Amino acid sequence: MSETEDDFLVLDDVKTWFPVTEGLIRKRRIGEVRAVDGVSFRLRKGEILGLVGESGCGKTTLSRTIMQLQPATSGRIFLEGSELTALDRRSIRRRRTQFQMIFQDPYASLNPRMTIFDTLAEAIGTRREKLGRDELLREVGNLMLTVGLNPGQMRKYPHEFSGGQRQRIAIARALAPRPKLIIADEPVSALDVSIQSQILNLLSRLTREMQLTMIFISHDLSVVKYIADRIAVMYLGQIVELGEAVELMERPRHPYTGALISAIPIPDPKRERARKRVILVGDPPSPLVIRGGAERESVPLREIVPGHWLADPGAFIAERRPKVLSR
Amino acid sequence: MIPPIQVSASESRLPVVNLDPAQLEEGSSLWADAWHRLKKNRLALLSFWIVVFMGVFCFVGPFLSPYSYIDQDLMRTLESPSWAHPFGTDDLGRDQLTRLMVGGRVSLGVGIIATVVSLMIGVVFGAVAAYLGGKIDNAMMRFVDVLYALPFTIFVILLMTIFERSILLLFVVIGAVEWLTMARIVRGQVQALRRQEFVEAAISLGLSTRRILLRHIIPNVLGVVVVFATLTVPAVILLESFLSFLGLGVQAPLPSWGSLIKLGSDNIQQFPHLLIVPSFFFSLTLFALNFLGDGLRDALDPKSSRD
Amino acid sequence: MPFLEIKDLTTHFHTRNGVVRAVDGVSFFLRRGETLGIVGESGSGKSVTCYSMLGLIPTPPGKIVAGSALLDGTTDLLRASRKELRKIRGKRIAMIFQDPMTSLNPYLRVSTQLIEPLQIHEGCSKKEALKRAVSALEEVGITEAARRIHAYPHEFSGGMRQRVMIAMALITAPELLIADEPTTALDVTVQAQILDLIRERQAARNSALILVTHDLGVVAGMCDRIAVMYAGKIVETGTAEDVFESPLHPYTVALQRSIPSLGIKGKPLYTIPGVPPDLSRPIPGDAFALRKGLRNGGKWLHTPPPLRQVSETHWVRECDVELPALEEVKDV
Repeated sequence: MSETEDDFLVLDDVKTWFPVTEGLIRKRRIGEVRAVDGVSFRLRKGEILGLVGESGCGKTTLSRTIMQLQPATSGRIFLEGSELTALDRRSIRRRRTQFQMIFQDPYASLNPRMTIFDTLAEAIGTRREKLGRDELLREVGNLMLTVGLNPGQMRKYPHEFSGGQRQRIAIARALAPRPKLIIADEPVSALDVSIQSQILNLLSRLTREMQLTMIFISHDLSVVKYIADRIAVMYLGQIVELGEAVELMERPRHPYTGALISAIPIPDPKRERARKRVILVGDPPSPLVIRGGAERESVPLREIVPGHWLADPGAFIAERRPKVLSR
Repeated sequence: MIPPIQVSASESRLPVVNLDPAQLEEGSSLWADAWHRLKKNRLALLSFWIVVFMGVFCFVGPFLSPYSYIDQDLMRTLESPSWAHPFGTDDLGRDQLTRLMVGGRVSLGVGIIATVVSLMIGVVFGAVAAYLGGKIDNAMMRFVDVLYALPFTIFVILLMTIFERSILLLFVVIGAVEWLTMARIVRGQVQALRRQEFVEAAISLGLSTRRILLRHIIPNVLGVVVVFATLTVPAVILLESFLSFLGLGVQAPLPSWGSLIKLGSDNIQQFPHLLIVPSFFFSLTLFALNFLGDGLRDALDPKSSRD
Repeated sequence: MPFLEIKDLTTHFHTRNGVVRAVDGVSFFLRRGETLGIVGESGSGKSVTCYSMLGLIPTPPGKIVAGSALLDGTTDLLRASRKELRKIRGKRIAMIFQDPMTSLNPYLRVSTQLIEPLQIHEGCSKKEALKRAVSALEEVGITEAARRIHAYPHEFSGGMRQRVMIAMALITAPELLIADEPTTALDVTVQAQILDLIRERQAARNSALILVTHDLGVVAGMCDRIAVMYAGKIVETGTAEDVFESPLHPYTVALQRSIPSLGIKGKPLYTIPGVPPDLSRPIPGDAFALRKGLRNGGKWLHTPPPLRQVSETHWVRECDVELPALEEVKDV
């Protein structure tokens, strides 16, 4: 792939495999869980990429690999030109403020023993600006206002807030170090519908205002269609289709993408009961590969139309035996 | 309700906020919640006050007594309880009440100090092992396993016989054994914590390992540690009294509840008060500590703090 | 004569912070073979309603304060003795829970758990029950059922476990099936399979179904009638067409407007201003009107708004609230 100046985040054949071993003393490697199995894409600055797929497809592992919380087994990751995968741990730690993550579970993502002030002040502290006590108070207050929280509550503890408010705090913490890349891993999945839209609006606006690049992971395709510029569909650790969001949702080219879209129920009784649906049989497959078993090949992406990448439409889908049903 | 905060827009996207620290609403921490819950548990509260009473009794009491624990009065040996000696005297005419209080100092003192020592070593050891994981964790925990396998009693008896029987040695020896269990418990907790998202968030911020351990990991295992510590103290006291009973505890004439009980059991037929009184205080304290530990565990149970 | 008739069900929880009125005067009915969807967000009382019906509310701290739940015109579930309830639960009424990981006993084999209802309710022999259990598993699409039935729950995937749950619920051919968020924890592809399965099995036995969910798409596809709950009360009820094509209560309207699939890229999504109410405080009037940021005419602030019949099938609770227009939506 040729690099252009626009590239903000580049992934080049990234693989994250977890070895599976057998034996008590002399461990033999019998296989591996190929969570991420050859992912490549490039993001422009300010772009929002939606990452979708069933459980086990590798989207969470991919996000943790990009965040350097999990080392990649092979492949390269470039952030603004510098190769993250080539850096040693100390260098990575120094750069961590450039990329931050928003987690799914608003209950587990905040330290229950720290006040909101403590949590946000700690995050602000990574900016390495020398701030006095008053200035720090003001910064934390500002941050809270930005995400729609009342600064008067900064001395409270996480358990005193609702799920939606906690997620706002998590967003504030992610923004505090002034990052350039945000990975949001199912940030609204654990929230009520009426709160979801508030948080989505917030994320959308902040990303635009702060010119952030974002990877938005979700299993809910309609959410992703709304917020993302482009969508990547993952299956068994690889991308099967990547394209502009609305285009991909309305004219999916890979049968797996089509099945995913078809599975979304339409909130309109007449249309929902009248439409034809594609049902996949069985559960999402396991990325576990045992040596000596069936070999799984990497399926390359081809750019069939500028900006729209597609893996071989015959790949993967056969084992799920898609059925077309109408009521 | 919005507090009266001045918000004015400026050129930057973010408004400037003038905050008055006095207007900030106070939060209620999980410790405060736990304290509330503990207060509602009558048995635990009673136990708490019993422990406090014992503490005052043993540490302040001797200052109020006209006797010291070594004052002998050979004219008045083995007396039954009287106004002059509320708990009687022993075979050397020493006042039992005073000796009980001083003995309590030793027993409680050993209990608390040894527990604190084991706590400090165990928490750090367990937290570091679990946080670093992998081979380091393996090595550290195998070390613990080996120590665990040593026959503690024989070990202690050996040490006490070889070296002088000082209180310090007692502290060290007991603390050196109790930390093992604490390390294992803390390691288990930290392993579970390590996977929680807020720890990953802290790592993502680029915080140092030391800071993560101190601010994020250890405060969240303190609940378990406190409960375990409250239950370790009676175990240590029991251990010490066992040693005293064997004649291996603190050097005479310094009493401990264990040695007092031994003395009492030697004279049980004729002078039962010498056994009954120290046994009663000993048992009461142990019960209280155990119930307090139970109460603390219920109070700190995270499940009940989530509404 | 409706198969199930709930009247004025009221359930309170006595907590540290006060009395939470989780369900406040809920009434609905269900005919044989019909599917009713109960839609609401967390705190709306939809799950508590179903648990109350089956006597699954822990008392304390919960208490069913008022109401009746007539099954088949004869038995009031809320007043039945423990013995009577036990005969009904698992036999005539079965429940499917949300989380397939915690609703199956991890220490017992699947076979043991599947044959249990048969042994208890129908006095089957172990051999006979096992045969039926295997065919129940086959019916829900588990291949190699005869072999896999002896496995433990953790050896099944999430989707498979939910199928096992459905098999367990259907094995005694219950007349009423209650499904509490049965697919929320599942992938969207598996959700489609499971919903299909529930619908198919329900039709085969003409069982009635109460489907509790927050997902409007799910109810659109599955339900004949829908009840929308807010703050412990039903605010609107009608056929699926009524509720989706002519929603009348502002909450129903707002919910539908805020679905992301209706969002237009680049424009903020519609949001409902304010936050859900604190149910531990007594609310004398309309709870929805109390949301900060909603304009309301003040009519139902002090008296509880009544239900008004709009058509033969469509009922809506009076509400004097005016929803903000899309352009007015602030995203914070």
